[in-house]
Amino acid sequence: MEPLILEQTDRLPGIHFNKATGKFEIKGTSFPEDSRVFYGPVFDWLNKYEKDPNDFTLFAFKMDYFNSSSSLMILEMLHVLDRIFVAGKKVKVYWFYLSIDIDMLDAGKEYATMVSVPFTFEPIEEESELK
Amino acid sequence: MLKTNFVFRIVIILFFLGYSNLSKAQDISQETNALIENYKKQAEDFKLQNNATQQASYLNKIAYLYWESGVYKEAAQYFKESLELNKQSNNLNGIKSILFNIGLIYTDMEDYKKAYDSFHEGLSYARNLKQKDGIYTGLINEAGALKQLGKNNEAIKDLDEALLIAKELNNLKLIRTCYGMLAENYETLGNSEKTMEYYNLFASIDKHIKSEQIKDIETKSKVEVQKATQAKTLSEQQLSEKVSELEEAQESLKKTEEISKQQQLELDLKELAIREKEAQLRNERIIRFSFTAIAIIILLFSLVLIRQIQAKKKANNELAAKNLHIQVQSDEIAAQRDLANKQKQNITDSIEYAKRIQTALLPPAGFLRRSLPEHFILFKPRDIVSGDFYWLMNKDSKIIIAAADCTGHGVPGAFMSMLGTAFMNEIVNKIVENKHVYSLQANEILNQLRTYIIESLHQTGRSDEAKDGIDLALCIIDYDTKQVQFSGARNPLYHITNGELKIYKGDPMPASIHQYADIPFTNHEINVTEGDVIYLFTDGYPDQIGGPKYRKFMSRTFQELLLKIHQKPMDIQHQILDKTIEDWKGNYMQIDDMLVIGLKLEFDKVVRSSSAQKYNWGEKTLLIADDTDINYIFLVEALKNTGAQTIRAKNGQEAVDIVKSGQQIDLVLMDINMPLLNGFEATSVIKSINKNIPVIAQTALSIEDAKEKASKAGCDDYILKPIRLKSFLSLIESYLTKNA
Repeated sequence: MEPLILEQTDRLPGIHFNKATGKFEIKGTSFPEDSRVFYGPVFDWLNKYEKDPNDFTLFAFKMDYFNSSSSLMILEMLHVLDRIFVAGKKVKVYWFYLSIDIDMLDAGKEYATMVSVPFTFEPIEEESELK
Repeated sequence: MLKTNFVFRIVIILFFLGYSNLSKAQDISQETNALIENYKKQAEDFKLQNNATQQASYLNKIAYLYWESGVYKEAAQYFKESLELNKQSNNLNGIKSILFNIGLIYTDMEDYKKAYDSFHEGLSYARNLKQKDGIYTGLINEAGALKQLGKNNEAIKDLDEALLIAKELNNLKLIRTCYGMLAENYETLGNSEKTMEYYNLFASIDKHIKSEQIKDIETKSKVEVQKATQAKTLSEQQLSEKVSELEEAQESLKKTEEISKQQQLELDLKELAIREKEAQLRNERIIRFSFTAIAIIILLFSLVLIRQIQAKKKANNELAAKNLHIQVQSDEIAAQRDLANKQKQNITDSIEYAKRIQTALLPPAGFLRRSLPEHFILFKPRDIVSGDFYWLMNKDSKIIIAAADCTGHGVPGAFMSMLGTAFMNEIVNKIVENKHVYSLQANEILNQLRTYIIESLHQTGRSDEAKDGIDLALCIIDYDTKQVQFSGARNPLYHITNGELKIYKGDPMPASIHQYADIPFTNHEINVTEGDVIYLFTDGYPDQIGGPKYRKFMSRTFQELLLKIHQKPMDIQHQILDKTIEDWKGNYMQIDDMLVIGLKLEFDKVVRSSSAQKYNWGEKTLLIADDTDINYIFLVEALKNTGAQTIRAKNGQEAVDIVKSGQQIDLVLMDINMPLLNGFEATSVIKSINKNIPVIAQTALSIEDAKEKASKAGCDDYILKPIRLKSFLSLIESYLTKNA
């Protein structure tokens, strides 16, 4: 399965999904003009992955900001992970947030209540940034 | 040494080439001339014998000789004579070949029109003969002439056909020629793409052919060397044989001791011959070696030259093609830009118009002023129209106010906001109509709004449908019970009381389809006290990206800022919040619509329109110091229903005189800009006479200035012009009751 790698920009998140290496990461800011257009290929990839997932999927969110329509997209991604989890594979979400950004922590906690995939919240100190 | 020798030879060759090209009729060598004369005679003889075939053959020979000598006219003439004979004997093959030759001669003469005619005719014979190579030659020649005539498209047509034949013949050299000529023609036509395509094909085949040639030459030289070695071995063998023969002979000579002089001589001669042969063999070896070396050097040199020329040609072609490409692109871009600008203007016009509708639907400023206590609304749409909206309704003693954020911004957001505004009006009106205003519950409004949205947008929860919805914070302020209700869909309410910030988080679901769409929204009852401040807002403000690290402003910073400024007058807070976020944003773009509503809860000061008569100041006398008639009349009108008596002073001095006269005055409303004595001066004098009389300055100054100057002059309070009736009356009430 070909990895999906999208470069991060000022308004679009960086995406790195690689089944072979087991790296699943989305980071940065997300306020696309039309979130369906940007996230369409992302879901195409994830839906394909869902059919033949790794035994253990560790999914990292390292978001700085996302707008309300992107937040729906993130929820949908979590739903895909949830289905993989419910089907019996090991899935874990690492939710990184800047330690001063309580809003991002709250958003992650809210998501955690909506799906059964276990969440781990990881604060990142100001200096190290979301790298 | 070899190299200089080689260069010298090249120069000589070039010289000869140049010379022969330039040669004219008179330069025909005597030898050739003699030969021509001889052939002419022969041709005459065969003519007499009626042997047309032979006659034509000699005419051809003559033509070739003239052609070689560069005497084109004569050459063409003799070929034409031969052509006639061939035509008589219907020798199609001959006719074709001669026509091609004539064409070539005209090409040499640079008469391309005639050349074309001749090739064209020859080609038709080749076609009749169904000779593939003949047709190919005809096409290539014709294409060459057409190119010279500037008829590139016709040339290309010929070349395409020729290419097909060359491919059928599977002859790489012929294919290469086609590609090369196609590239040239497309280049002339300025079709850079095709030029490059064919040039690349040409180059790759050319490379292949050249490498084949090199291999061929290598093989040939190897064979030569082998032959030489073999010859040498052979000679050596012969030599040794001869030597042994000689030895034998000498031996026998010795043995017999009967050697004649003649024999001796023969022997010597033989030995001489052997030596000679040895030397010859050596010479031959040297000559062969140097020939091989020269051949290889020539080959290498020409390869280098060809490659350089090719590289340069390629670079030029690429550059020309690029330039052309850029020009075309920039033209296209300009056209697109013009179109885009026009379209953008149309769209912007239409959105500007839509904005008027949206603005008309928002609560008008006058309505807000009348309905709300001290407040501000910071409303900064990202685009012309907004996905954020605020909504307000005043029902009896209740004010229902909401700050809402529809998914998306701009036009899609604005569509949703229209829907939201309409739904909110309908929902609240229905509740009040069917039940009672007292049964208004903040969460009930949100529950119903969610149902309206899900039903009207036909949301069923399928993943591919629109999930658009509204996040909002809604509160109901009840001025009778001094209570505040709050319910939030993904948006919170901030409540600052006694310098402490209390956060009421909304529920995690929006007013739309959602995993939790079945769960009712939570209703929060908030205990408030006089002077508390509440804030409703959307996420656009705390989420704005900017600052030194291109980061969100964040709720925490927002909370700290509000705590710092919550005691300031509401319009000052408005200014500070606006400036802060503008500075934070800097040169970055605004990422979302922004909306912040601040409300100061002043239950005691608020006077609703229906209760103006509750003031009863019948025993009170108010001194109005104002030089402008219209202002005086306004104040009298404002005080009409309160029963208060009013006395007017037309300037500061008159006001002072009235107080001095000892008349009962319960309160002074002091204008600032007046003749004789201005408001501040008059206030100082009045206060020195009776410091218990409250003096309220009325001023159009900015808040900060007014406050400072008024308190300096001894004024008890101030009101800002234009006067807001409710706060004006409640302010006066507070001073009149204080005195009593």
